[in-house]
Amino acid sequence: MDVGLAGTLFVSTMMLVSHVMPISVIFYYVMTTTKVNEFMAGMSKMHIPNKVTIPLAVMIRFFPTVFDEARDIGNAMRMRGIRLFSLRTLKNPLAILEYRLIPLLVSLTKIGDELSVAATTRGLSPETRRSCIVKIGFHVQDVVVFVYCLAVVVLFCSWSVP
Amino acid sequence: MSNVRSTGKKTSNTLVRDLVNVGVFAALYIVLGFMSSSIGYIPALIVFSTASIALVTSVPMFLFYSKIERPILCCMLFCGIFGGAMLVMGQSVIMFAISLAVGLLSGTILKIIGKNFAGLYMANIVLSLMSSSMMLPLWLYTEKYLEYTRGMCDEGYVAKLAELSNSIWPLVGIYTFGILGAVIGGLVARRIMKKHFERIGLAR
Repeated sequence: MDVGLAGTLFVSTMMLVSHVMPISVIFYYVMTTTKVNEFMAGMSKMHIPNKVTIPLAVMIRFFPTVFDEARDIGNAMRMRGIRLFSLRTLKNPLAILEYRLIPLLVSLTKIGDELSVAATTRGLSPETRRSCIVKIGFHVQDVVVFVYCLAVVVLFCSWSVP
Repeated sequence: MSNVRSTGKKTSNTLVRDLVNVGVFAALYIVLGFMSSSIGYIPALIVFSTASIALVTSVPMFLFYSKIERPILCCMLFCGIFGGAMLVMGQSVIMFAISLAVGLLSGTILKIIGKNFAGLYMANIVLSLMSSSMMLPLWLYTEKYLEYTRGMCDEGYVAKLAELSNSIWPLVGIYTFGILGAVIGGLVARRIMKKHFERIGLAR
């Protein structure tokens, strides 16, 4: 079936949407419902070293921040006429890299520095073991969900790979 | 209590700052990488997507390299997080191994040469190999990959992919363009570092 460039573009975009959609839904759910505190407590229960846990926790906290800051900077730059296909960016394509990326980087590094200072003040350290008031464990309901997911994967593999 | 004493040391404070920086820049790298690699969904432009990733991400990477104090640990963690995220999104285990190796290599380069322009430049070029390796399964497991793509794509796209996978030259092109993007991006990043970040005191 030959559908041309536009058709291929459309189909591959739809493919991307249909493929990335479940992952994005799970991702969004995990990001919005997991508190950083509980995430770190669970990770330390699983005996994962703090050196791995701290960057992951910061990353989870930072995904919404990246999008928020990018949107704010985009609004500010729109007032100055710097958009993806405006006259000014067509004249100088690197300008969009400079005008959108640099403010984002500056504000993100500032937020990151403040975050690390706040974390150090509260006694976050890779060497110490942190305590958590929330009780986190692996109970019957977790086992049920785990077995269900495992069964789905096994069934899928046994059907698709004869 | 020995714990209290160790948190009071200066080394521990910089370690926390390093770890926070790894998290911040990993989130930024993943977002920017996905945005700039989106031109690869046009089959003719697959080869150029690696160049665009390397070009766009070299500015944040320069800032990241100049801010960290423990190069090997931070680069390993950074690349490990990126490889792990790719693993979750359906890449092969080889991608994870490659990203760990790339992290070790770029961290070692930073450690040996130091945080001057040459070190940053070479570490950035090595790091571009990581994002270029995302297309590697097409050549390693050609049959499986095409079969997998046939289930959800139209025939034109699969035919283009099969045409690409017949010869080794597109793979060489992908890596060459990735390195080329890092080479140009490094020069752009140096200018931007001088013009913006050093002036406001974010980097030395």
